[in-house]
Amino acid sequence: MNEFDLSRQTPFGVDFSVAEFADNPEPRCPCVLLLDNSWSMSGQPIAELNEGLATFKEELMADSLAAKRVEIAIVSFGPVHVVNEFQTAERFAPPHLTAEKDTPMGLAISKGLELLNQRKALYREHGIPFFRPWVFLITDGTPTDDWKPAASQVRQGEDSRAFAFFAVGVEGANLDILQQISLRQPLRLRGLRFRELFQWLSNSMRSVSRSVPGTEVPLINPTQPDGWASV
Amino acid sequence: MTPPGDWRYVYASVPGLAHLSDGSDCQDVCAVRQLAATESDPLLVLVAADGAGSAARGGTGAQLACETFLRECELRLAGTAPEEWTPALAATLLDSVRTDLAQAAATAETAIRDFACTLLGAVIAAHHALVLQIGDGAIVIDAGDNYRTVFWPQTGQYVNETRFVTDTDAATYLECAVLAEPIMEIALLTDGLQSLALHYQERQAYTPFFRPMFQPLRAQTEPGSSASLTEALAHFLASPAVNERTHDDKTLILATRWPPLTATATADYPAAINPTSDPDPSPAPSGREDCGAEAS
Repeated sequence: MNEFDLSRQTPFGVDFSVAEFADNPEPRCPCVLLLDNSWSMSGQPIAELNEGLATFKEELMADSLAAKRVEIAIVSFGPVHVVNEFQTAERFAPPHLTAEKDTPMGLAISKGLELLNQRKALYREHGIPFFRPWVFLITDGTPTDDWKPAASQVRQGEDSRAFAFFAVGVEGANLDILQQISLRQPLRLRGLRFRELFQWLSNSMRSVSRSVPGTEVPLINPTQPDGWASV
Repeated sequence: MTPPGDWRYVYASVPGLAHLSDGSDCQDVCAVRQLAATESDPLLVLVAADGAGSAARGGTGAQLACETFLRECELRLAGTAPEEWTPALAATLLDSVRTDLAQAAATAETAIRDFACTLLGAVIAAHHALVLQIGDGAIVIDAGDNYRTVFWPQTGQYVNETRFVTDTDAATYLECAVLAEPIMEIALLTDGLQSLALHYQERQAYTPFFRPMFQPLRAQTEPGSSASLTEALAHFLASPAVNERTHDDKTLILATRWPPLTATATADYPAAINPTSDPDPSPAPSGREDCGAEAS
């Protein structure tokens, strides 16, 4: 008989730690990034965006819980391309985007929402609990395709609380159209503060991914004076 | 038939790391009480409530909900034959809890949602049980060699959402069951322990969690609770192994009435197997109708 068994025999050494824990998957916090890589993003904007994506990964990795829970998918548009299928932050490889052609924003939104629906179906099939997904659109232009069907998909999704949709306009973006797509006030990126934007996004995802029922998720207002955005 | 042994139980609520780090109190509350009943053998009442973190007085709400539940069970169930328990009784219990919380809110000149909490309750007679739940957490009972959840935790569309007794439409989400079966073992747990004690894909209780937890309780010979087991349970709930998996407050209640396992009785009552001397070893199906023959 080994020591462990002996300790279990002693009347005052009652130990509940022999209980086995169920091996459940971590709850997931999906985040879809819809990123404009049209020609107008050439040069510094796309470079700063790429650095922002690397920052996003670093900051999520600094939080062991977020690293396992936050799942990222990226759809670039200019043309529409699924750059990253959903992966946890741990496995996420930040892409290196290059500026290409036009701005098919409507198609990109539809593609992103399609990926999200597939992911949610997979979560449900495997009994994986999840948080409300975030869809985050960043653009510097005007859609070059029919964006209205996508806009109504976004409205339906927001109404049924299927996801939260955020739109950010880089200088040159058509905020008037973004306003018609996003129920939330679109935000204007200050200069090229992509790094600060992605730090904020990772902080927000960290907050969401550790929130429990009945608790407010604390989000920092990005439009405060030293924030990355203005309305 | 071999009569069930006396109830032995242990319960503890322990603050999660999230509350320890910001200095706030544990917002889980739980209690177990044995009630003398006029129409039946004594009843065992178990209750647990998880105060909402965002509610200003969630912990107070949980405390009040547990107290009211115990009091109302004594008032309304102790004098009613268990064969006559109905889901309507569960609705009445919920009403009373809500009334008390509304009263507390009025006294404090605040909204009832400031007292938001979940509620898990069970009342067990010899051959019947009444169980109810609003919100997440789980009530787990013995099912042959395994354990099963009576209800699956109520989450909203997302994992960080649930229902509270203070919700305007709480009555709509009340889950309750009157079980016509002799419950031998029962556990109540709040959502802090869900991912350890339940298997999400199978949507079922995780038996390897519960089976060893009940062993020391089965071995206890004296009825009621014991300080050493309570301490051991609180110690377990606050252990790094548990905290590694959950940052939330956590509550666990365990109660058994398996005849105590003694050195000589072990052969007769192997763990988790119905005693062979019991003439009625198979529990009645968990039908919600009464089984008159089983009335004590």
